[in-house]
Amino acid sequence: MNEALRRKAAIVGIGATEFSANSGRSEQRLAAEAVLAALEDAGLTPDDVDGIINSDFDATNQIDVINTVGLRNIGAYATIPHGGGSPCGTVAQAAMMVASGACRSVVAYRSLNERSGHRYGSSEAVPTFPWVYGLHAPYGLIVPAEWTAMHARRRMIEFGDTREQWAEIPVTFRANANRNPRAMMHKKALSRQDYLDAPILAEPLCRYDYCLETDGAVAYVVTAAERAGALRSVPVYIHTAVQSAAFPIWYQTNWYRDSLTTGSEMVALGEALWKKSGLRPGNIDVAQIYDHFAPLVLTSLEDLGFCRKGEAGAFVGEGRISSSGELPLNTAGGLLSEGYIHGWNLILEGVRQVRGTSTSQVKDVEFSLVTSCWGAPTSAVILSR
Amino acid sequence: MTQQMTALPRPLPQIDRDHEEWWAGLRRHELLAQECRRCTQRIFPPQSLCPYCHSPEHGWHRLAGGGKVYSWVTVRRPSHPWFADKVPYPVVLVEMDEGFRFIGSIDCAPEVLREGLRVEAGFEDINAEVTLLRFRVVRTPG
Ligand SMILES: [Zn+2]
Repeated sequence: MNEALRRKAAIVGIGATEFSANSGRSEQRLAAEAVLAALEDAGLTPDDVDGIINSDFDATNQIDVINTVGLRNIGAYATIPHGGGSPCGTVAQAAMMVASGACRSVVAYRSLNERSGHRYGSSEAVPTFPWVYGLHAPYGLIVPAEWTAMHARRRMIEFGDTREQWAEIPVTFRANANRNPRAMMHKKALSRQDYLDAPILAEPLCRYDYCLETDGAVAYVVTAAERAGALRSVPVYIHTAVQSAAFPIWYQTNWYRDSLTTGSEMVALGEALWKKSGLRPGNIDVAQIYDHFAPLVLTSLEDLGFCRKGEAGAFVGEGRISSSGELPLNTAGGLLSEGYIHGWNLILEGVRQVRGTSTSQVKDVEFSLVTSCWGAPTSAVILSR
Repeated sequence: MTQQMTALPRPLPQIDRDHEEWWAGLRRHELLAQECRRCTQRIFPPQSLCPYCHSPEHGWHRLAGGGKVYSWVTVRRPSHPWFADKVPYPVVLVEMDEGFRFIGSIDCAPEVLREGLRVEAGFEDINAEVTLLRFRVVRTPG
């Protein structure tokens, strides 16, 4: 979305199921529960909704949500692709749908039984892999952690990154999760020593570098800015939402282009974000950075311009990213410690920070940043009061 | 289900229309980069059209086989049953002297690996259709 759409739409409702290892319910039911919760939060009814959005990885068809929630007035729908790169792109899409006048209120959802059902971190029970995957799966790089370890190693080679530096990410996010009763890791402490002692799974990564596997669903509701003020909730304006792909780009396995430690789509995303928002990294009060793997949080911070290339290992030290630091990150615990709703739960926490309802609330939040997956066509949104 | 899982064979590539010539190169023990006949740009991985001039006509540039380890992963917990008795195993990303990178296995222990280690392309015939890359560490004489 361009400058003309700045603050033309607002997130007016958020909803989520519990995050667990076994929901005991279908993904379709979880999606409906999250959508109903988001509508309740906004003070809207199913009849108010005329647009619906989801992500390409979602097994819950929009038809299932229409039929369970009873959405009788859907006149526009979209599915945003690229898995973990899609979440903030759905916000951009929703903003365009309401700001253009095509829709009055749009609901977006993500639902998955990622722990009790199909686990993204397990190998596909298939004998052959399609092109690109076929270039690495036969050698034993099968799941995202094994792909990402190649990028993480390269950070060590180029920048001298250490596991002591990487520990700052999971340990800080876990402390945030420990304050968040919704978080899967709410009651589990994580110390630096726990991290350093953890068995290495795909060297140089250990289990605490990996995001969680979660059953659950989240949803949010977007409406045009001029309607938002009349609703029940405190409106959270979509200041700017952007998407970016790059050329060339490879399905999270970007080993064939110039750099393994710079994501050209994330760099382009940052450039678009700052240009279209009229803001700079220093304007951001709190950020939810997509944390499927801890070292990629560092690469995202560099690519977005929060620090210079190669310096994020030092940047995240000295408490800078803690909830009372200069740039608090992933204040609900993130995908590493709150839950893995494929990046969508980060949007909800970005909204809470603007509302003032986070369990690790940052003071006087004016601009709250949320980003999506590094290494795929990706997206970001700046939310504001 | 568990029995099926443990019986899974080694994961193999699907060899599709746009990439069969590249895989045919590996079967001949040749490591190839795609070369556009019109604009002479070389690319890897191959594409169905040249992304620079959109010509569908391409040939293949055979790489000499020498390169250096650019990055590597040592898998210590297997994610696929076929690899369960192979851990820990290293997988390397090699930058060839001509500038293209390839994933492959390598004939050394993980402890030997370091950035810049000289290697050469080797080939492991799996079946009639598939040959995979298996790099060899270049042993310096003496
Ligand atoms: Zn060409």
